[in-house]
Parts: sequence; structure tokens; C-alpha cells
Amino acid sequence: MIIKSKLALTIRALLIGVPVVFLTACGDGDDGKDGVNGVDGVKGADGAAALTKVLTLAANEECKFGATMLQAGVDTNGNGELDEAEVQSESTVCSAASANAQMLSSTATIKFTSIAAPATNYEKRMIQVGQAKAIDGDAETLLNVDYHILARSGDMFGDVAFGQLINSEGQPLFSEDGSRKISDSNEFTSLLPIGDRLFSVSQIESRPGAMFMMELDQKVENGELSVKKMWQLDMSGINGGWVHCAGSVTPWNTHLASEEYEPDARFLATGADAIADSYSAPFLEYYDNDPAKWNPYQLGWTIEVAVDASKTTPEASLVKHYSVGRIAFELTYVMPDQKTTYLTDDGTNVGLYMYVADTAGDLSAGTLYAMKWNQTSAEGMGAADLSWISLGHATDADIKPYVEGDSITTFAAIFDSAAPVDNLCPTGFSSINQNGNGQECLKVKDGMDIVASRLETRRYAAIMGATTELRKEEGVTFDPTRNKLYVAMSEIGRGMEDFKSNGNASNSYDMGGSNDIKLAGYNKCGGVYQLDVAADTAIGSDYVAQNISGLIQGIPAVTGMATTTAIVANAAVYDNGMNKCNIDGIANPDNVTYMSGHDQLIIGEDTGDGHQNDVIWAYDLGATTLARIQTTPYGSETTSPYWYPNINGWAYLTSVIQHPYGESDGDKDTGTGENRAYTGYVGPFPAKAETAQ
Amino acid sequence: MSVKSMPAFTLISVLILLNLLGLKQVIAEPMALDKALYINQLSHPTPYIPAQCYTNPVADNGAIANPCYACHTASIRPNVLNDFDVQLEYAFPDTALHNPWANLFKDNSQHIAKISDQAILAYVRQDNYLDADGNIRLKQRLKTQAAIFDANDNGQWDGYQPDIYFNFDQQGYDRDPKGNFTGWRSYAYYPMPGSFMPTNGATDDVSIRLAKAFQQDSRGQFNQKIYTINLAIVEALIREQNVAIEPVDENTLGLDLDKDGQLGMANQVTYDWAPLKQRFMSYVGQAAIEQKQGKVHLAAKLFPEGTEFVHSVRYLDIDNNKQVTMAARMKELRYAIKRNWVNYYGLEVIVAAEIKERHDFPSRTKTLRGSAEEGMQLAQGWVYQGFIEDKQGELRPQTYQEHASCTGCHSGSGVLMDTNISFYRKLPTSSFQQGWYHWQQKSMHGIPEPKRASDGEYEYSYYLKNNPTGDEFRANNEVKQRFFDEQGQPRKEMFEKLHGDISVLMLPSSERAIALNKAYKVLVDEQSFIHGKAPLLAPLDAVVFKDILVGQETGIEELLSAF
Repeated sequence: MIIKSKLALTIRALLIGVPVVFLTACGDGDDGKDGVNGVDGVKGADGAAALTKVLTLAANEECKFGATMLQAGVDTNGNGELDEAEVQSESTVCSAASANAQMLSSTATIKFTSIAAPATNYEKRMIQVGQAKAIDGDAETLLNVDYHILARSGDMFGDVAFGQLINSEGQPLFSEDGSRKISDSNEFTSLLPIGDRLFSVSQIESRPGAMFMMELDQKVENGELSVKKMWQLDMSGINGGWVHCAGSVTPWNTHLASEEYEPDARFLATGADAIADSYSAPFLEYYDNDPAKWNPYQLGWTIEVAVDASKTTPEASLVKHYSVGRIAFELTYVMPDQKTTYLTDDGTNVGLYMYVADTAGDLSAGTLYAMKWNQTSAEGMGAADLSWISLGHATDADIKPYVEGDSITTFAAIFDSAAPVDNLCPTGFSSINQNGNGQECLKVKDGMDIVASRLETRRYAAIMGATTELRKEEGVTFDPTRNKLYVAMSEIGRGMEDFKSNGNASNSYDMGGSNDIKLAGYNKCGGVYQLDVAADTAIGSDYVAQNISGLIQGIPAVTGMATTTAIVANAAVYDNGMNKCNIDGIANPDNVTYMSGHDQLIIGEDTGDGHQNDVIWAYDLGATTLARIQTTPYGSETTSPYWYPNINGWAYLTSVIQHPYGESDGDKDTGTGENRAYTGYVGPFPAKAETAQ
Repeated sequence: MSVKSMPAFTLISVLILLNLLGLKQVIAEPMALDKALYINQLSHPTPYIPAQCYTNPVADNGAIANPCYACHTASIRPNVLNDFDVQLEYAFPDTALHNPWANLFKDNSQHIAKISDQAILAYVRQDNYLDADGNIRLKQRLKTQAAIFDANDNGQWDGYQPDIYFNFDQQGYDRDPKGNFTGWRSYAYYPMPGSFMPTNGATDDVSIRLAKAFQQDSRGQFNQKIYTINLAIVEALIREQNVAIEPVDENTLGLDLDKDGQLGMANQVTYDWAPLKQRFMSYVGQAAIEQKQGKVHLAAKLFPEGTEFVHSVRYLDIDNNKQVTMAARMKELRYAIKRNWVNYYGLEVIVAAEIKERHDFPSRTKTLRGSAEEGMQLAQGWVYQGFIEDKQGELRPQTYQEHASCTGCHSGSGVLMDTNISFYRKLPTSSFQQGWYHWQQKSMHGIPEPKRASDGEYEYSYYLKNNPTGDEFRANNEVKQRFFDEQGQPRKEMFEKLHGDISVLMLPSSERAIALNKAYKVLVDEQSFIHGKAPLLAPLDAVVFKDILVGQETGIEELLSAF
């Protein structure tokens, strides 16, 4: 026994992953089911099962590229697993050198074993990752997958500090205490394989915004990524950046960044307005606090970043796509036709938009549509048929003069506005309710429709009768297996109810609007919706969302959190007043990404009192089960998980942990202490053979 | 006070006294407590919103009081949380609309009536911090009962180990029973207007300790002179003013402390800090070395890493002259340590995140971090921890929910200076012992009233003008009657007295002091602190809201600033 256990330790040390268990002979798992009635004595027979177990060993002296060990024995204790003490024979085969040998077979899928929610103060300060496994028929291989850091805010790469905010001259911004303004609001980070090089664009959700380009090194033997070099991107050519929230990678391998919470040009018209607004004021540091440089219409766009790797020092080109429209972009997501693009809008009383580009792979000209919710069910998360209202066609060039050219415009030049009287707008004015402003009475000035459609997309959509009642609409992803879009709604409530706010009577969110969404309940834990897409010849796209219904919603743990589904109280250890959503359900879903090839929907949380520690989930769409795959330190937010199925034989789930508190490593103190954010990934996963590029 | 010396007593007093005698026995072996209390549990999600915030500032007669501004005010950088707007509106999350502080509405008069004056005085005069041999009782308890308080189950107490002896020398430095420096230094300060004035229920003291490196010379040896200068530097940074010191030869420090351009004798630490203009300041001794190494930091209005505060909250005692003084018995011992540095931008980001959260999710409650064992962690880099009396009057660690109350006052208001309040309010160096003394060394009598920086008005007089009862619950009629006549007109002579001696306001009558002690003792007997621990003589149904509407306005019309 002692010798065995020593051997076991050695094996464990060599393991990349444990074992695939082949159940053979009479000991198949179905026998266990017979035991339910308790009458028969058959269960005893299970103990005699002969089992084999396949271990993947790390590279060692004998096997340079790792090895596979086959163990065999009898399951004497009947636990269905081949324990170390039960091993009767072992044989080892060295692995071949090719990367393909490490790839998953085309029939294998990656799934996750849920990690327990953090319960102790220690666990609540950690980043934890659940066990990933490859399942191929009855075979199950545990994968050596963990959270890996590419960079933490404040890390220096040459003279570039990751997260550093700069002004329009490229000079670093400082606080009065002399500290660099290094943001901990790391956000979406793309992986862009170009030729035989690998790049990444990483954006910061700050005011002013910031972006970084990295060249990455990928280790051949294990797929691990590290930063070779980092560059800070000059954003002066696009009038600076603003709150770069989530993002996506286009099918043509460019980085799409968002600008969230567009400054409201009605109320933040002048530089003085911006300075008085604590949210907007920091942006002006980009222009050395010159209020004359404030133009709200220069902020709130989709930014495309293309990396030119033809030279040793890569070059990034940035463009704000004015034809796509201006909203509180959570993100912009391009469908496989390279034309149809969905735009999600974060905030209170917001919409969903679709842009259809004229030319595949070119977002500089196209037609913009806004979603209309034609409700078919008020129950639960609700359901609706969707129609799409055209907001017209435009090119970036058409709009540019109004934003930064000769025809720079203002809210007052686009709309006539009036105050509602007794909740009614004067004749000729449209009544709308959007962006948490309550009722507004507006009239588009003659000749300004196209300008309004792009600079004031949400208001114009509402005027045109589209639905602006979504609450905290977040990430979007496409599932080609089912031809569905998934859209996260961080909360379900307010405008989505019928003259209510979380169950209480309220005019705030429906008065003056079209009140298309009239759900019977609310859910402060949020949910993820599914939208079937299909061809629409009139629109000229194969990817037009036809309907919307609930896919999965958070489960309230206490009263007052949700009425769309029943309360399930938490176990005592989590019932601490700070997990108001059930610990085993989602809470305030933020970004989503479909793990193509594995049929998992990854759901990242950005929650406050829903869960004390934010989680990334894998929702198994086939089994309809949730697995907790990553937990984050206190106070942090998971952002922008994004699935890369195959980069040179490896797959990655990027994962950024914003503004964490709890972990401290004084040796890397940048003055922002333990709050430094993490940009990294869960992985590397072996890619699937069939998805090789 | 020994038992023998007590005067005749009633039957009830006998019972209480027996209880006290029992207490004496339990001292060696403190009562067992339920470990479950020390696991993270909240009975309601907003213990960080203080009971005071539920007050209706508009009285029945329409008079509007504004006690709010003392906390919620235009702030001073790097605290950029200008939260004066909450003077106007109860900006509470949905789940806090129902007032969870049930003790505000409880009538304890019968329970209070059962406690005699003698019994309560005997009680408050007992020292529940040090035993007869001068050992710290709480320290012992944390050892012998570690299993109960060990929330993280690692077999030991990982929170603050009490190590202050309240044995202060002529410079305010604390000494242990062997006469060694503990590093703690007590300072006198102008009590914050409101709850922290003794007339509203308790006496307090605060001591500060800087990290070891600040106490050492450049060779790493303890050096009181170096430590004293470092404390003066910290004082200069928090005040953003020059601070007088005992003359020191700058050559021995290698630092131009008075910034006169040469190394010579210095009589002050000169405040001149503007890093963006290349004007820097430095600590001295080992801390200067650590500062150069980036291990500790220096900035205006921020304390360096490792700074600790200990704050005792005590009952009110009555001396032979019938004057109210600080009692021996502690209601609470509170502790804070700055674990890590957050720079100005980091602090700005914390507030930006708070603004965004309030905008995006107004119904969300705050995520609390920490545990009953390790204290509550604040984003600003501090950890706060508290100890409070158990049913038998011995100090015990506060439970998780009791701890959660720390976070509201210490992280979310405009008046804070690096999450602290008292040090900015330290008495100036022109005071007795340069302001470095404990209230038991010198009472509050004779301290002149400070003036506000913004308008030069007397600070407490301004507070009373805007809040005549001098408390947040309009429950202190003694103060109101002392400073205002029947028509509500200010009594000029009393305000004149206040300008020269803050004790006129600070100290209650002995009758009131005794009543407040009893009112609090009821809460100790009940151990009902999570329902509110203000010592109240009558229920507040007429003053405090039981329920609030979303976005309800307070009725306050004029925004005031604390500075």
C-alpha cells in the first residue's frame, strides 16, 4: 500500500489531467439504477467491475511530448472508479510530437465540473477555476485548465504601463499626488492571430478610454500565452475613447470596441455641463480640461481596430463607425454573413438594434434597424415576436461632418423639444420614454432624420415606434447549432413591466412610451434571452431575429428579488444577506459567449448583492445544466468572456476581472494596491480537430 | 469602587449587584458565546445605513433641523465623494425602505427603571479592559476562546490583538506594565458634532500608531524622536498645515524639515507638497528609506500604510465635583488598520464606481467584505474591527452584522479623511501636550470652540443653529434648553460660554449621564446591538421614519457643508 501511494503521488505529479474511465464488462453505470427499489441484491455484483483508466502524463525524460498511461484493475470497493489501490497493471505510451496529437477528437466536447461557490473569506479573495473535462462518448479526460494572467493593470511592458490613461498628446495622465492614472477597469481583450503572429487588443472601460495592443507569445508545448510586447494606442484620430465596455472579434479578424453610456447631448451640451457632471468630467482630462473640446456626439460609437502585422512593429488603425449608430454600446457583434450586425444597448429603457452592412466585411455603410417587441406572453421572462423598423441607410462619410467636420451639430439643432403637459406632448411632437429620462416630447427638424438616426439612435428609434424598454441589456452571442442569438438582460424590470418598477406602481418607465413590453413580473437577478434568427428577404439578411423568449433566469433567494420565478433559499453558508440570488443560479448576467464545438453558453456575471462573488458560468445547452467555472475576488466584475475555438491547436476563454479587492501582492505594488485588475484567460484548452483553421 | 463601600441599596440593586459579583467570577472564565454569531450573517442587508439616516428632519411644528451635513458634505480631495445631495433625499435601496433599527421604537423605560443609580455607577466604574494585574482581559479571552471567534477555522484568532494599555506619559505615548513603548499615542480632538458628543451618550478616546518603520531610525532601532517627527509629518499632511515640533537638528535627519532651504535647526514641519510641481515631502528614519523603496507612500490627507487607530467608547462617569467624566468601563473598543495604499486616482475610481452603481442599480445594496474575525475591509485600503460588551459586560469581538455597521460611517461619506474622522480634528499643537493626551489626563473643560474653515463660524454653534438639540434624533432636550429659550431663541450667554469652553455643550448633567448609561445597559443586557445601539430615553416614533418611500425628499431645503 505504501509503495502504491508513493507511486500515486508520482503519477499525480506528472499528470496533466486525470483520467478517462472506461467502464467495461458488467459494471456499466446503468446497473446502479436498478438499485432504486432496494429489493434485489444485484448491486453487490457491481463491485466486481473491471475498469481501465487512461492518464495523460506531462512531458518527462522518457517521453518528450508527454505520454498516455493505461491502468487496469478491478473496482473492489464498488465506487465506479478505478482507485489507486485497485490498479493491477499499467502501460505507458509516449505521445507523438505534433500539436494535433494534443487536439481533441472531432466528437469530443468540453464540459465543466462546477466549482463550489466561495464560502470562506479566503476563498472570497481568490480566483478559482472549475475543472474542465473533455467528454468523448463514455471517455472523460480532465483538462489542465486554469486562469492565466496576461497582464494586470499597472504592469510595465517596456515603458508602457498597462491601463495607463493618456491625453490627446499621448502624455500619461497624473493625479495631484503624482500617481499615474492607471485604470483598473480592464475590459474586452481580443486574440487576433495574423499570419504566424498572435496579437491582442485590450480596451479599458474608463473616461477617457484607453486601448492597448499586445503581441503575444504562444508556447507550442502547452499553448500558454504571454505578452511579448505592448503598445499604447493613440486614439486622437478618433477624438479619444469613452467607456470601452464589451467587444467582439469580427469574422474578418478585427477588434470591435464599444463606447458605453453615450453622454446625453440634451443635458451635457456644453463643456460646463460636462465639468459639472461627475461622470463626464474626467473625460476632459483627455484635452487637458479644456471645456471647449467637449462634444458629446464624438462619444458613444463602435470602434473597429485593425492590426497590420506586415511590419515588425505592428500598426493599429482605429475608426469610429458613424453609420452603425450611437447608443450606450455594450457591444457590436457581427454575424457569419459578415453583414448583419447586432448592437446591444446598456441602461434603463434601452433598445436592440440591427445593422446590415452593404458589403460583407465593411461596417462603413449600411442600413440600421431598431427592434419592435410584439408581445406574445407576459409570463415569466416574457416572449415576443420581433419586427424591425428601418432607421434608414447611411455611410460613415455621410455622418462624419456632423460629428467632427464642418457641420458639427447639437441636440437642439437635431430636435425641437417641448415639455409634456399632463403626460401629453403638444401636436406634432412624438412622445418617447428612453434612457431613464422619463417622458420626452421631440420633433426631428427637417432634413435631420438621417443625422438623428445615427447621432441619437435610441431617441430616433423611439420616435419611429421601436421598443426602448429593455432594462440593462448586455452581451450577445450567436449559436450556429440552433441558429439562435443569446442576449443577456442584467435585470428584468422597470420598462419591461407594465407601469411598474420591481412590482411597485410607477409611471417612470412607461409613461409617454409605447409600452410594448408588459411583463407580469420582474427579476432583479436577470436572465438570458434566446432569439431565433432566419432569413428576411426584405431586409436582405439570413440572420434576422424573429422572436425572443427566456432561456435561463436567475433564481431569487429572498423576497423582493424576483416574481418571475419561485424563491429558492440559499443554504445557510451562503445565506448571509449578500447572495440575494440563489447561489446556484445566475445573477445579473453580463457578457455571454457561445463555445462553438462544445455547445456551452458561457455567462459572465456583473452583480452586486446578487452574488457576493461574481461568477462565470457554463450553461450546457443540451443538458440545460449550469456549471460554475470561475469565481472572482470580492468586489470584482467578470467582463467579456470570449471563446476562441482554435488558435494553433489551442482554445481559449478570455476572462477579465475588473476592480478586484482582496488579493495583495506587495512586490508588484503600483500604488493601486490590491485593486489591480486581471486581464487573462481560462485555458489553454485543446482545440477540436474539426475546427482547426 | 469596592462592593463594601457601596451605600444602602434596594432589592433590585441587590439583584444587580449579585449579577456584578457573578461577573467578577466570570472574569477568569468569560461566558461561552454562540459561534454561529461569528459566521457571516446579516439579518437585513443594509446595516451600513446608520439609524440616524432614518430621522425625519422636519419637526411637527415645521422646524427643519439639519444634522445630516456633519457627515454628508462637499468633501475634500482625495475624498471626492461630494455627497451633500443626500441631505435632500433618502437615496436608499428598496430593501432599506423599511427601517431595520427596531430599538429606535422600543420603550425600555420599565427596564431602565429597574436599574438604580448606584448600581449603574458601580457598573461603569469597573474596568472591563485591564484586570487587577494590569493584563488585557480581552487579549486573554481571544486566546482561551479562540475556537468561538475563529470564523475562518484555522485554529487561531486572526484579528486585532489588543495591545494598548491606556497608560499614557506626558507626551501621550502609551507604555506597557514594564514601561515599554507600545507605539500607541493618544490625542485629544474636537468631538464630531452629533452622536460622538458625550452629551449624547458616550465618552470616546482615540490613539494612533504608525507602522514600525516610522518608529525607527535609519538603522532600524526604535527612536522616540524620529517617531514623534513622523507623527508631526503625518499631522501636517492630514491638516495640510505646518506643524510645530521640538527643535531638531536637521543634519541628524538629512532632511530639510522646515523647508528653509538649508539643514539646520527646525522648529516645525513645513507642509509643502505638490508632486506635479516637483515639491515633495518625506518621512524620516526607516520610513524615509521605505518611502524611497516604494514600500510606504506619502500624500496629503492620506495616512501611510500600516497606520492604526484604536478608539474606546465608554460610559459616562461622575466625579466628586458632580462633573461628567470618562468612565473606566468600555462599551466598545474599535480598531482600524490601513492595509494598503490607494492613490488619488484609485480613490477617484472607487467613487466613480459608486456613482455608476447608484445610477445603474439604485436598488442594489453594498457588497460587504470581511469577517467577524478579520474585520471589515474597505475599498480605501482599511480594515475596521470592533469589540463590544457581552451580556456580562466583558468585551467580546463584534459579530459580523455588528461589524457591518462600521462600513457605513467609515467609507461612504464626504466628511471622511482617509476613512478617519478624529485625526483631522486633533487639537492644535498650541494645546496641552501639543494635543497629544488622553482625556483622563486632562478633561474637556476649557477647550475653546474651533471655527469652520469655509466661513469662520464657530463649529458647534453653527451645528446647534442648524440642529438645536445637538443630536441626530432630536432627543437631547437638555442641550436645546441649555442653548435656546422657550421661544427657540439662542441664549447668547451660553453661546459665549461655548466659544470659550466646549465642555458647556459636550458634557451632560449628571442626571442625564446616569440615565444614558442605564439606557445603554439595557441594550447590553439584551445584546440587541444589531437593532440599534443609541442610548435612548424614550421611543422615537415621532422623529424617525419607520418606512420611507423610494426617492423620498427629506424636507431639508438648504445644503450645508461640514467644513
